[in-house]
Formats: sequence, structure tokens, C-alpha cells
Amino acid sequence: MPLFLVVDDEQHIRNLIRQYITEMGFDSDVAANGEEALKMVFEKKYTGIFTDIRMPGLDGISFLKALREEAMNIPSVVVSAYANVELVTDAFKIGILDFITKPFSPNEIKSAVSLIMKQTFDIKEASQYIRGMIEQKAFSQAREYICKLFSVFPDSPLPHFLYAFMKENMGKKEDAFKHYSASLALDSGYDPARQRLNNLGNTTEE
Amino acid sequence: MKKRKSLYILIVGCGRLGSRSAGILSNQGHSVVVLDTDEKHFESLPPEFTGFRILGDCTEIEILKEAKISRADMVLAFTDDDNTNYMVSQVAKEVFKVKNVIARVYDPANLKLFHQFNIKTITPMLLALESLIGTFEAIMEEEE
Repeated sequence: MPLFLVVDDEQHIRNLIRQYITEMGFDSDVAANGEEALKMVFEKKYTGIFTDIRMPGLDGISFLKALREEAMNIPSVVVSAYANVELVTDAFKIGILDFITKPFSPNEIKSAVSLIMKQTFDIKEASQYIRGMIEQKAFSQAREYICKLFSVFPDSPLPHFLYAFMKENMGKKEDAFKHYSASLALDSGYDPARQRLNNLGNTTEE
Repeated sequence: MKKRKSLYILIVGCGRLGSRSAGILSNQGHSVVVLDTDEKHFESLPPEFTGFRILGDCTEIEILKEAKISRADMVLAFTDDDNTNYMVSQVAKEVFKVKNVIARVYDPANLKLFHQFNIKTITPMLLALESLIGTFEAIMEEEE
């Protein structure tokens, strides 16, 4: 399950970022400064980090440097009110994925979450995992995972394919037909959807 | 109730209406930015306000850019001057293509101008009148 870490000395900013991560269906922890965050990354495995730069104690850049020194390659995004060229260059040299300036919109945070997920998420592995759930008829669990895939990979034919596959297994052929078609509309060369659609057509005719 | 999408809302003018709206909207989970020329006005923001404050002149395009107006889902032009609200609303709508713009208009004679640009309006005088008529009708019913 993806887990994010949000580091900012201002509580309301932490809560705001956390809220947008939650809206995408993911969990997060929060830390008020670099030291706190550094302790936390040793205790848990994080999918991605959102960090402020200017914080009392260990600042964001030093925290990210410390992470790299420990060879912890966690995709990170900086969220800062200060964005001079030097600071942004420094941050990108450490290997951050994105630099978001404050004030930020919900979409900026959500796009960064997607960017992190795309870097770390093995979509094939997730797909097999979800198919397993569907085959075991754990539909509500499968639906929850597919919704997360929709939010991170809206352009991919896979979430529609999995949703259709779930509906087919639930006996809702009309819904399945619709979503296999949506999957093909996103990628006309997506063979798994075409095959299922053909099968569905044959069984409906019978 | 259907879960609402979080919006990015820019409020220009942090007076009584601006600051209270900022509190309510950020309490609803939206990302709210308040812009005002006077730092003292930010003191009226309620504790539930969790957004961002920008100190600057809303008639300067660079300040509006700093507030990321082009990303805003909604702009509320709530300064105490119709001309400023008109300018901000028009720039938001025409230059930055903001979908939803709401302006406070003091003088009802100016309403037509705002509506020509598809800007939604709030006019305190008309709202007071509406409320007065409502109260008046209720009293008349009681009298009958």
C-alpha cells in the first residue's frame, strides 16, 4: 500500500497536502521538521516524500541530502514558498522529482503524487494482484484498488480493463462491455480488452 | 452527500466578507489564497483559515501571477471598491480564463457591466432588500 511522508513546519500546510493525498486514496504520515522526518524514514518504507525547505532544525535540503547519503532513494517533491534559481537548482541536483511553489492548488499536489506513483509503481504487478482479488470474488477490495489506478493512470487502458473484468465476473455484462470499450478507446491496440470484448460478444449471442 | 472536489480559490480583498469566506471555504477543504494590500487585514482571518496569504496590490498583474491566478478554479473579487472588483474580475475571466468569477458590487447601477462579462455578482444592498421583503412578508402573514 503506497504511503507518503509530508514534512512541513506549518501544521495547516501539512494537513492540506495530506488531505489531497487522502483524496487520491493514499495514506500519509507527517513530520514537522527534517530530524523528525529522518527518524521516520528509518522506521517505515515510504513511497514518496513532500518536503518544505525552510524549517527550524534540519531544513529540507539537508534532510534530502541526508537521505541520499544513507542511499535511500525515495522519490521526493519540494513544496516551498521560496523559489530562487539557486535553491531550485540545488534541489534538482539532489534529484528531486518536482518543485512546487506555495501557494499550491490541489491539482499541483495530486499531479506530483501521480508522478511519484508512476516512478515507483509496478503497474503489471498491481494488475495481477487485482485480477487475483477479482478471481477470488473480493470485489469491494478490487474496486478500491482499481479506483486508485484510475486516479494515478487516467490515460492508461488498464484501469478500465480491470474494472470491466470485475464487472464481467460479477455477471454485469453490459457494464463490462462499456468499460472494455473505454479501454480500447484509450488504446486501440490493447489486445486483452479486444479479446475479452470478442468473448463477451460470443457469449451474449449464445 | 456526494464528495466534493477540492478547488483552488483566490480571494481578493481580506475585509469582513473576504476573511469570513476564506475561513468557511478552507474549512470545507479547498486550497484558499487571500490577497490584500494591507497586512493588518489578515488579522481578521478566522482560526479555521488554513490557506495562504499574499501581501500585494491586486491591480498588478505580477501579484496575480504570484497568487497563481491562472490555476484558480474560482476568483472572488471582494475588495471594497467596485472599480477594483471589476478590473480584477475582468482580468481573471479574460486574461487568465478563470471559469468561475464572483464579484461584490456595491452600486446596483454597475451590475450590467459585470454581467456583460459573465461575472457572477453579490450586491449587499439587493441582498438586504431581499431579506427585508422576506421579513416583511412574514410579518404581514402573521398580521392577517
